[in-house]
Amino acid sequence: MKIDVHNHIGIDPAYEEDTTAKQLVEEMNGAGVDKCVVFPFTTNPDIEEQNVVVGKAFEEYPERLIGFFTMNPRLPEMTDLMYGYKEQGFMGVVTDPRFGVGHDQKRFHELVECALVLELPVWLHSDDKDTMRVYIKSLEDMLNKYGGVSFILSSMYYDAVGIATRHKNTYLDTAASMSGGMTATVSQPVGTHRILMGSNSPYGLLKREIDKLEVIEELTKFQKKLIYSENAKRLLKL
Amino acid sequence: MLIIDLHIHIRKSLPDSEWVWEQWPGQQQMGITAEQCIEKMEACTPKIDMALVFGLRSLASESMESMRSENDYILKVVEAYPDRFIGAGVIDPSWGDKAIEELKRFAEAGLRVVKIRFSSMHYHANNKAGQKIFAEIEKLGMLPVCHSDWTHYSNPLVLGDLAGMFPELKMVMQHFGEYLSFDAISVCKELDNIYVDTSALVHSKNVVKFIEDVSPDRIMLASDALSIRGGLQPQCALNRILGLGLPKEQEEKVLGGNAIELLKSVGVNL
Repeated sequence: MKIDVHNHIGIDPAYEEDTTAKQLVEEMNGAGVDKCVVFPFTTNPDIEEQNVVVGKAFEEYPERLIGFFTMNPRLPEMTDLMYGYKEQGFMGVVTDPRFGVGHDQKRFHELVECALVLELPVWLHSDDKDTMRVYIKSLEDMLNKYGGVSFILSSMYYDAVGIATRHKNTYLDTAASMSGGMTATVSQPVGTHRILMGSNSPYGLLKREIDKLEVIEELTKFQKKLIYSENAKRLLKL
Repeated sequence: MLIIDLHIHIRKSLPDSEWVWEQWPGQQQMGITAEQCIEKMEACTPKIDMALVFGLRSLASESMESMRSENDYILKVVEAYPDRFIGAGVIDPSWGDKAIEELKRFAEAGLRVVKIRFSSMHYHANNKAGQKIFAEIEKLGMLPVCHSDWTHYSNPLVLGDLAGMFPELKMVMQHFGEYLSFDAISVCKELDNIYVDTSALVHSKNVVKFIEDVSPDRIMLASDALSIRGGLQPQCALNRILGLGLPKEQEEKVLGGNAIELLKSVGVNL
């Protein structure tokens, strides 16, 4: 089985990208991917509208798509919305510093506390400190404070490896790895049990992510199986 | 000679019940009101006569309502203190056509300057959304003032690429590229529609380099003040320029002359 945990659908206003669930499922069929985690583009500020797109997608393809919702910690009704999304069947929450709330701020902590109560993994779409002003100390303090929450660190480039090494409640996806060799290198300090296959489609290709992993000679069949699907199944209780 | 600080963030004061829910216990309310800003300008040596003021929170806005509310405050204080403030509206271009509606709304209400911080929303400045908003700004004959820094999203090269697509539109590259001042200078040598402000500039001698290598007419005093204490403050920004020992004519241009010319060119009454 193959599960890709990093896919966007809906509208990306930055690049006028409009990706549908149907397009993604067709790509999955071509690439041999069984299930995909889908969520909105975090460039889109209208999170409620975009979460509706994702909700419809996993209702239409319940065997193929798993929905995460996006949340802006500034919204006054944040926790009510999160309870509603959980009830609707969403299985994780995505947030991003682009919403203007730092990892040390109260509203961000409230989001994580709500995720803890609802047993939702938290996807941190963060970038690194050279790309964006993400302060590593406040991020790590927050990861340390909420040891009972599972975090997926995505698009964090080089900083992510050190952070994941220090915090056992974190998972890394493969989207920012330039090659399979980089993923193999990460397996030494972090372990393959905390690496997830993620393509960042539509900007990445599902097939490319599989190809990256296939060529790694240093990983065993068992370790690749963890990355392809077993870690995602364990994290998402599939 | 007027001294103009071309970069101050202000916000209205909120009652405890409206802001405390997002702050940890014991934290102070962040921000400077219009009245506190005037006090700061008066307290400077020499005093600052006028400031370009705009909001902060809506640089990445959770809703159109909050963006409008912040811009309404700017409209209100510009009307109340016309001798002290020039106003700029803030736009978060990630709201697409709704952001353009807001741009037109505050332009119609009299604001001639628009502030954008592409890195707040993780947008590369030269992407389609950036081009779209710049096309509208050009149509309205306004002045975009854009945050610059070292990130992928708003470094001098990316902002320069955007400015190069609109050669007739003047733009202010705020902060002079921050740590990337040399990149900013390279870009400004090639594109004469880009101006820089001196806020958050790390090495003050790069002001001299800009004047020598690019122009004495396209660089302007700015502080980026956004808090009562700490961080960036107007007096510190003034000292950055005054300490350079520039020839008097150049100093006067940087402290206010260049800003007056630029603002008048987009219809600001000074």
